[in-house]
Amino acid sequence: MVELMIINKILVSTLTVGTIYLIATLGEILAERSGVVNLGVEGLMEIGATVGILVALLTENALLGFSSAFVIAAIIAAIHAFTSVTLKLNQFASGLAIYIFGLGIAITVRECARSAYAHLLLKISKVRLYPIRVPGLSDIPVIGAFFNVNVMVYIAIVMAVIMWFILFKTSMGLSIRSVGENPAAADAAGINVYRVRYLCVIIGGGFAGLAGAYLMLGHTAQVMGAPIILGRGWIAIALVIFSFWNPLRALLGAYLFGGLEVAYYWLQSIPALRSYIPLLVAIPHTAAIILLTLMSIEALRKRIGAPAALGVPYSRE
Amino acid sequence: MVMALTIGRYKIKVERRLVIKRELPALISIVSAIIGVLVGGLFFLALGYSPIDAYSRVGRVFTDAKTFFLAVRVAIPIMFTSIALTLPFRMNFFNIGAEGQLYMGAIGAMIPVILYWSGVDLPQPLYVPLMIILAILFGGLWGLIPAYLRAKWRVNEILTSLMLNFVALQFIWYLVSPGGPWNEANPAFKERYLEYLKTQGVTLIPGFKGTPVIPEFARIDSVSALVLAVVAATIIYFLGTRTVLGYEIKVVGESELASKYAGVNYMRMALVTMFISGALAGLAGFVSLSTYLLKLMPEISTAGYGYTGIIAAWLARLNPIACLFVSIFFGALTQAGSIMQQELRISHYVSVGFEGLIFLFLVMGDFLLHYRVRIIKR
Repeated sequence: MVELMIINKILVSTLTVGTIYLIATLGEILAERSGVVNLGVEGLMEIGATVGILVALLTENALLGFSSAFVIAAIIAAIHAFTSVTLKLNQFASGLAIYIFGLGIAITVRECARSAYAHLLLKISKVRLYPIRVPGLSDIPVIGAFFNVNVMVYIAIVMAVIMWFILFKTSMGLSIRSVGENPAAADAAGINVYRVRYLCVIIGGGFAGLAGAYLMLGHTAQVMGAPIILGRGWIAIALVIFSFWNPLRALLGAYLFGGLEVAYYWLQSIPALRSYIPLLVAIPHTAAIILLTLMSIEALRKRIGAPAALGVPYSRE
Repeated sequence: MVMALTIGRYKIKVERRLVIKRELPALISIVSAIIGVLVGGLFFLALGYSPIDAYSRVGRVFTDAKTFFLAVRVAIPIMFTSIALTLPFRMNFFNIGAEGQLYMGAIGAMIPVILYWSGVDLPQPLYVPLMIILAILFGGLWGLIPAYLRAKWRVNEILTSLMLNFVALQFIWYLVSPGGPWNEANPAFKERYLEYLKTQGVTLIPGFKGTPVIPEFARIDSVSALVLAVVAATIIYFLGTRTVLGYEIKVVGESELASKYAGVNYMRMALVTMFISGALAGLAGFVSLSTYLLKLMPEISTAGYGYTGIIAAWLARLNPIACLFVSIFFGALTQAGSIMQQELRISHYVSVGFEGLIFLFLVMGDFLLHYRVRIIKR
């Protein structure tokens, strides 16, 4: 019985942490399905984390924290959309610039807030998301884990299902996918390529902001003057490839990396591994490299791959 | 693309440039960088600081000799990382891993020093050359990983090279944390290092995250490091413009498919280019270690030399000689950031934010390279 309790605990943490990856991955899937790579995810997550926690603390309202994180990240993603869709410039460089800018500005703001609003941080417990424990159901082995998680875990799963439905079962999704595969044909069919790409990049960027805010409000809740996303945004971009641009497969990848982070916390407590703790931190990043390699071999063999027009600006000329 | 927009009595017309004047790229880069700095000032204002206050600190870097020296010292590693990135970027190989290659280079350079403190002696003049060779090897080999994966299975090099930055940094943490094999309190260094510390009149700091210090005979001064950077830039400039390798890099950069038909071996190209790139980034680790940091610590690249190098290379339009001058600008920016941290109690990450903005405007500025915007009064 004790072992089952531990399994449930591990699963609850996996779902909680995996949700960070899931939300960010969903956003990037949306952008890339329309043909635009956004390498700024990590920076947008840093910004989302900062805006999310500060607004939530100032208003004592977690929902306002999440929505402002979404809006601010979406606005910054719009700059990326402008550079890559309207100006048709190098979107890898533009995304990288968003990453560096987001990282720098988010940490600067957090550091300022930390010294100016120390009293606010005491209210952190008021805005944190706590697990919703369903009496009875949460004690069931394994499945019980699903009845002992915070509300965003459910919302993220619902978002994945909705995004899958929209992308593959509606005409709107068909438009998005055709813009990413063959923008010229989509244009000829009367789809406004620019508008679709703008919307997907902006909403996708908003998702990255949400993911950052969730990291703060649902997972770690700390305000400090150092990076806190620590590569999770980059792993989310890798997970887009792992999921073959399919929101439902993103669930698998996100929880896999959630599980890896939980494994780190568990391994950390083993005395024999004490001095190797810094190396354990790099497990998710190493795993991402291995996973990317395996996926690329698989993609070469099966001849499947990214949306055909991914990373290529569309021009009517 | 010809676009026209009418606002009131003015008509804004965007049209393709037919001739690109020679001085235009440099002009656009400089103007974009200035706009980036000015927009950064707005963020300063929003945070409740005076932008003039901030700019005056950047200005001080160029007027005060001592501060300028510090800025150049910070600029030298940036010179190496930016020169390192010119070659892979030219062949459209997006190496974001200079940061990690720098870390590995620093680890390699530290090996002879660690051996020295553990009681293994080498002739003293051998240390610096040996450290340089090991920095080149470690940085270069770390750079080969994304190159091989990309060439063999088309694994996305942006993601792999970036992930390797985190891995390399964690490796340094492992080596130098208290209890780690290279931590200065390791009993292996007991005899010689404690003896040395006694002559210096210092004691070990409990819980310090770092290696023993580099002995005097294994250090180099900033002037030699600068000379090394100039030599590296010259070599890479000639490699890029006067050799078969440089020509092939250009061909691959223009079209990977076309280069395949022309008989260019992509695997060989990627491996050679990334070994050189990683080696130069590794040298950045060596110089920051042996000119001023003197101990291997996780903070070896707090200014993010690897990422700054990307922006510097972009601003220099992938010209290694221009990288030297552009790096001084970024060195000044970084130095101004740390002055602001001390005097205004603002995070030094503020200079990272500025760099991001400058990069963004640089990327956007490229639009004006191919198009001109005309405002016509009706």
